[in-house]
Amino acid sequence: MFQALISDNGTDVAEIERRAEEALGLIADENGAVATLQREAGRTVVATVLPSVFVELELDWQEQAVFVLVGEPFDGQRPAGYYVDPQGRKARWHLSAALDRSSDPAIRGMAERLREVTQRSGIDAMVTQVDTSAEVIREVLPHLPALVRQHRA
Amino acid sequence: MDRLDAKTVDNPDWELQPLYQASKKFEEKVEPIVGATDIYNCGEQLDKESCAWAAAAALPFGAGRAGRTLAMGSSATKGSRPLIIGENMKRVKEYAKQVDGHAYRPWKNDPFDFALGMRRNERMIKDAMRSGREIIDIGPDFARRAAGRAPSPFYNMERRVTSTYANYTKVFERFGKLDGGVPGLDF
Repeated sequence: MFQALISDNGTDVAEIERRAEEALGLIADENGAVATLQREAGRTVVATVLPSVFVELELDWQEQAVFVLVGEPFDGQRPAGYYVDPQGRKARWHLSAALDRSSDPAIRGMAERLREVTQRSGIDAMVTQVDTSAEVIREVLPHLPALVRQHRA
Repeated sequence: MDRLDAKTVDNPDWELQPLYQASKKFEEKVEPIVGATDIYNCGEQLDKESCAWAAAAALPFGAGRAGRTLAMGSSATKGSRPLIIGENMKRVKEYAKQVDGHAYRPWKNDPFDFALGMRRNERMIKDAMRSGREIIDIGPDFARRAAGRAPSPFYNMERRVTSTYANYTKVFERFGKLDGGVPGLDF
């Protein structure tokens, strides 16, 4: 199965972080925002906060997979906690779950595309997951605030 | 950076960093010794229970036996914080905050070595079981599974190791293969 977290072509943790920060940073920049990178034990989170939605790329080093979480900002910031914030409110959803809410089959199809790449593990899989996530985020970003609001309701 | 992260082993300004670094070097030498996790936890948390078990594992017979006796008579089975297990370390950490439990904090493992990470995680759980510590299982990350993930090999190991453990509590609900979780944590 996995050995050390480095691919045959030399891609490593720092390279994945750079790739994720650059991918989300470009999207953030196009929307007048910035992307931030936060390292924690076992994971790195690259995030951007827009006026009505935030997006997080969660790089899980133990599971060797990338997840995309979305939600509504609270006071202009990402809420504390994880799936639920400290006040007990649901605060984060996986992007694929948010896209499932769309009435547009093309957007629901993107959820399936995300699920397909999310199945895999390993450093090369994480590269694909970062790239695919960025493509999907860029495509669905205009619809995301409404889809997240539906989840909230 | 949250309160726990301010103390993380990755923080070079952490006041116990020299002790941690020394214990890390020591661990590479004593990897096969049962109780190495206790040595680490002793260094990280200055936890009386872990330090006693560390002594039991690492010291010569007489002193080791004294450590073992101290550990058995300590708060190991009474007042120590429960160990939280479950899928997705972030969830585990969040739940541990909520209930004042203990979340497994992996040793630095960079570049990540899967086999080593698995071995350390398993040893931590076995050490906790040996000391009679309560283990709370927050279950699968159903949201990740609905997002396409298969069950985590780390969580599978945790379930296997704790399957017959008496002081085990399950706190998650399951509503289907891809639906469930812990109220207040997942939904």
